[in-house]
Amino acid sequence: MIKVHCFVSCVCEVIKKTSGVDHRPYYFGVWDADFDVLEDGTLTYHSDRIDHEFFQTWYELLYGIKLQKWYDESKSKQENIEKMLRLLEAKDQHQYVMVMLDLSLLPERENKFHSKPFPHYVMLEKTENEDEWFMYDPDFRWEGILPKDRILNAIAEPAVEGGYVFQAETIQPPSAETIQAYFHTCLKLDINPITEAISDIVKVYTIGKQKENLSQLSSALKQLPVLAIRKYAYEHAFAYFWELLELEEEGFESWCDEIELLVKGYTTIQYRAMKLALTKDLSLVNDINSKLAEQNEREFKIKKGLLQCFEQWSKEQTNKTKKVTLK
Amino acid sequence: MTREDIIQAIYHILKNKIELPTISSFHEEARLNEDLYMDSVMILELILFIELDLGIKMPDEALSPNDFKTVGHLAAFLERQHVQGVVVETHD
Repeated sequence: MIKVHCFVSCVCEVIKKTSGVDHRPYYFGVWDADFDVLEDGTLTYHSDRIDHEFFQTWYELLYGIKLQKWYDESKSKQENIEKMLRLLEAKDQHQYVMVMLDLSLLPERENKFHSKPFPHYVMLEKTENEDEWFMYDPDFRWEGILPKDRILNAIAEPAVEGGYVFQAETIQPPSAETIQAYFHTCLKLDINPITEAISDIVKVYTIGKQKENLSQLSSALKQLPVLAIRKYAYEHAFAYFWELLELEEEGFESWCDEIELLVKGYTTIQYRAMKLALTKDLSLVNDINSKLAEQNEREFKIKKGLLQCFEQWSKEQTNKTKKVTLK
Repeated sequence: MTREDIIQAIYHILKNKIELPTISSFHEEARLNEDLYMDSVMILELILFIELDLGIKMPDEALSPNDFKTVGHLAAFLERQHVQGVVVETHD
């Protein structure tokens, strides 16, 4: 599985390990998950204004697991670290301790985005050696032992703060009704927020407040690759419905191709925006806008296709319920 | 433009324009991500300088940083693009 969203990957790890419980519905919330645009028009996947309350609430509603935030921003970093140490000390085999750290400080790890800082959620466990911890990073499909002081150093970085704890023994498969409610909450049929935001940012840097800083447009869109890969969440949703509806593999493959084109389309937009920033050639704005229009069209098509699968699946759920009632 | 010229041009861009901190690890087999620590945006930046400085046109579908695993892969691709560009010009 491709990296999609580190918070979601962490909490899904336990679901994936539980037979009879499917993690894929949880990804419905990822394709248009929250991001932020800062005052200067910079697109960012991480900011003070973003919390994970939405995913926290739905994790409990879908799987019956309460995600508790142990990190307290009103307290000092040291107090929070001490709290984490107590949690790790007391944790049993069903408990998972998540923490946000700066991945750029652990350079032996794969760092595709080369961000610095690189806020990222992982899960930790003690080992028999008190100087080492076991780190799970399901988002990058990495797990291994690292020196404890180096992990603590990456947590101590001021640019990162956050942590959750959850007890997974009560995990339950989501009901059809909850999946339906979640799907309706997640599928925004009239807007594609990321495409919309890019369009606004390009305006800000060409005709708006930041037009004197056009050369900064590249850095304003630097985090776009992190947001673009969230679109792979559509693949999980199609796969989920496809499997339950027992549809032909070929149709699924063609949706995957569309999703791939959507993700790659953001690379093209980013490239054109970088070219615009470097050359100041405003005729490139038209090329960017036409690609943005194409992206919108493609994503609405994907959403519509997914909605059809969902409706077919919902119909089957209703039929199943009717059969049970008739018996 | 030979393959050697292209590799030399890539080196020049990485060293002087992108100011890559890991430039000392540069060689033909160096992997852009794992050895030179370039992320996808830096690879796009490199492609952009190649397009603007060398006049080698990069089609949209080629803008997939994952396809250029090593310096050599990128050079081979650019060599093909360059040859294609020349052919098109000759037939115009």
